[in-house]
Amino acid sequence: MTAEIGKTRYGCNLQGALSTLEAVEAVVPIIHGTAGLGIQSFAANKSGNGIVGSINGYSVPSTNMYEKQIVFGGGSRLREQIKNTVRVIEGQLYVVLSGVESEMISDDVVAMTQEITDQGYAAAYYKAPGFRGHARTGYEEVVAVLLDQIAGKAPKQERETKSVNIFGIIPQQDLYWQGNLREIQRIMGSLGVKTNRLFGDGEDWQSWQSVPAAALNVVVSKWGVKAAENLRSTYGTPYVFIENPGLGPDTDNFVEIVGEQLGISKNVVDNFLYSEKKKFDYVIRQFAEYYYSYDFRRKISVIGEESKVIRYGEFLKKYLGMQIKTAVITDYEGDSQEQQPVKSLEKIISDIVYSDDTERIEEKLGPDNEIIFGSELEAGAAARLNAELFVIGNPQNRELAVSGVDIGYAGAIALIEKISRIGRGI
Amino acid sequence: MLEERKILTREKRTNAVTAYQGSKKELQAVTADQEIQQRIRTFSQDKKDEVYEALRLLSEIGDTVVIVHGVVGTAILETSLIHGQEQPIWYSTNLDERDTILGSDEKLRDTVRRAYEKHQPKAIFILGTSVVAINNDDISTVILEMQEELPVKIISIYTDGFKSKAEINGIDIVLHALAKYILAEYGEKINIVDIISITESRKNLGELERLTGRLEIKCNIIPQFSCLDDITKAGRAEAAIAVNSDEAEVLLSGLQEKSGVKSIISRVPIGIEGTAAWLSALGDTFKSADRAHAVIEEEERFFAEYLKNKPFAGKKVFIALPIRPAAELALFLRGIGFEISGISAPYIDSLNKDALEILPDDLFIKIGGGQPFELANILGKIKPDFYIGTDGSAAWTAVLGIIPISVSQMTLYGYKGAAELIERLRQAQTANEFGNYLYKNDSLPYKTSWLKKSPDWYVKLEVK
Repeated sequence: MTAEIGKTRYGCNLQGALSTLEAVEAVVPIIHGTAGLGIQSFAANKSGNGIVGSINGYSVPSTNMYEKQIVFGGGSRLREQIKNTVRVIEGQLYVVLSGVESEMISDDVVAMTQEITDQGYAAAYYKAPGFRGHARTGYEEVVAVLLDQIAGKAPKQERETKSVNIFGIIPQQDLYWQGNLREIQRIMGSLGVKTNRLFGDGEDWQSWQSVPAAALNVVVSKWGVKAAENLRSTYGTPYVFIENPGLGPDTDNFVEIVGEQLGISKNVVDNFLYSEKKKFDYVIRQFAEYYYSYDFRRKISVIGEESKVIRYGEFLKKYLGMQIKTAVITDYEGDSQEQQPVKSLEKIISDIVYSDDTERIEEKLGPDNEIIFGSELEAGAAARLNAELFVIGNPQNRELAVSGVDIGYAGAIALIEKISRIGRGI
Repeated sequence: MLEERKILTREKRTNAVTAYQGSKKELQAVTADQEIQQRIRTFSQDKKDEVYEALRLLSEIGDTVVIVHGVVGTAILETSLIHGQEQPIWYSTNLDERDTILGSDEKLRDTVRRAYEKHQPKAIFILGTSVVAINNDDISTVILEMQEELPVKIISIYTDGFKSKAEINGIDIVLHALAKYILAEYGEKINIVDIISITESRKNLGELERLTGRLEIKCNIIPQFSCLDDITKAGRAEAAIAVNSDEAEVLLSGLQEKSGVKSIISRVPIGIEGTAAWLSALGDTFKSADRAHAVIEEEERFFAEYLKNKPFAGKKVFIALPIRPAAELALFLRGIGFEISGISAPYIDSLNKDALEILPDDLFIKIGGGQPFELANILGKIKPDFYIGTDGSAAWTAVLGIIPISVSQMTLYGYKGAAELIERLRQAQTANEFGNYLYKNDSLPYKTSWLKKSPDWYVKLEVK
């Protein structure tokens, strides 16, 4: 049973699925439900982390169901909508997302999708009622739908020994999803490994066809595990789940594991990491003056998705000597009281809380916090605690975060650049 | 009207039409009938709904809390309305599958109690969504019980997101609730005017406040950006005037019905004529017609040169705004030389169709919120130079080589708005580098075969 939420920060299942599909070019979502849910999601995305793709917001096909269809069934309206969508909008794949209303009245989404598939169009459906699961469910399940579409349909291809797919970075939910996918791609590229980002610029439905050819699936948050499991059972592709792909030198572990799995020579890996560390050290030396002038040994709390909390928590403690009072993990499955924190986090933080309720989160933050790492929703808490707010996640409404990155060496350098303003009263 | 528990939908109450394409003259014929033969879209794109509009408006009223009673996603709009520490207060009952089967009244009770204890607001609004409407969850009983327990007004907003296709319906429902439960009754009047604003930006209201000030009339702007007390006390005003009378109609009627506040009916204060009409109407009611006349004359002097020289002669503009502001804007733009290529408005009904009268008979009009696929088709054929619209629906027209102007963040109303618009149009015309880049490098997702078809291909008469 779910509880009510004060000041929500995430959308629902359908919105999670929609935001995921929007990030794959030439994939056309079709909403089967009442109007407006996609527009709310569009408004939320516009507030900071971009509006991606050529089909988003007002251009997303939607049946805009109204009373008559809710009373008498919306199946025929959906049939008409799908048939006309393929005539109006260019697409390589059409995906029907059925919302709350159509699921409550049990419209036959399966049969309606099958009809257009029978006509030779690539089409799929995902039952995405907002009362089942959450925004992460939308990502997990719609990725499963896309993978099912490839299964048995993608042309037979040789496995590429040095290529990986990345799973676990949720488009438009992770504030820095674009930059983070690119940073992983950059790191892999330096080892001579090809990366299928699968989302963002240049990634379309064609890119997904090469998913089975990858030698390894790299999972960087718990939300990517399902996809990797699916690919392991379908194609026998191994995967690595790395809880902390790292910020700064913490990235080394991630790179070494992937390098080893792909049989990259240790020399290549070491040389790359050495050069990255040199760059990082050059930055740290510059930051030193600020660090001591403004004394960055601060008491802080970190609020965000688990993968973010792990990365920031470890980096801020291990390298900047910050003292983490409370960590709040906002993305979890089931009851917030029955969560088991990952071990690495328990080592560095004694107070780990699970909540996506802004008011409850605020209640957990003690009076001695000096910096709150969280979202714009924490602005009130930070002000009351007389602490600085450092925005690391959504919602964020300060800038269009298209190149922002908080993973890898690039993420650490970006973080230091941004954090250097703290203490200067600007 | 206030005796009714719920207000009828715009379709039933005012014969609202939300799907149409054709000339203004035909549109007038269509909307002239008592019983309108509705049109529907057999292909549609997402658009705002009444829940969106109601939630947005409620979030702009201070000292209140909104509980969005539904799935978590129906509240996510709120994250776009936060400005630093300035944040609306909202809750989602976050309904899951179990709630949709077993009912959600206990959860709603808990949320109301929590909202009250945490914030002690002056009112708690419970916003209905499709899940609770389909399940027929009993919100009224919860409110009755909670009302006995807590010393706060708990008000049901009867939105569901599917009974009306016109998003303005969400505004009507909110205004009905405000009029019925918040407005206090007043016999004595004081010499102020209520200005009813529903969708205008703060900048626009700043300009209207400046102009009312010049007439030496005090104003109380509600319900947007006001506190609940400002609404409660609105009945003391001598008279009420809306910025856009069809959006504000329910509250205007409510004020009249409850406290005998006289409604001043006027054109929308956009452009020179519209603004003058609005100020004159105010001046006449508040016995300062001479002052109004003098202010209008003085403010209008600035525009004499533009009206004479018509700097935009030979340029075409397409307007995508609700019909009242659109028509008034069209009139102003014609005054400075523009040819109007067409208008797109979300709905038309008996409360606003008179606005069509000032438009040419053969002017192309599209009715329906959003639907950029239709607009892409239309704009590709009529090739206007400018497109004036709002946030979320203007930027993409640059891809077609049109210059988009989004009026959402600028001043459009009053004399300041008219001057700012002229300045924007001039700037946009000379500095279109960004638009040119988009034109050359971006594309729209529509099939060429669609763009060649008649733009009303998917607008059909509804079969009953």
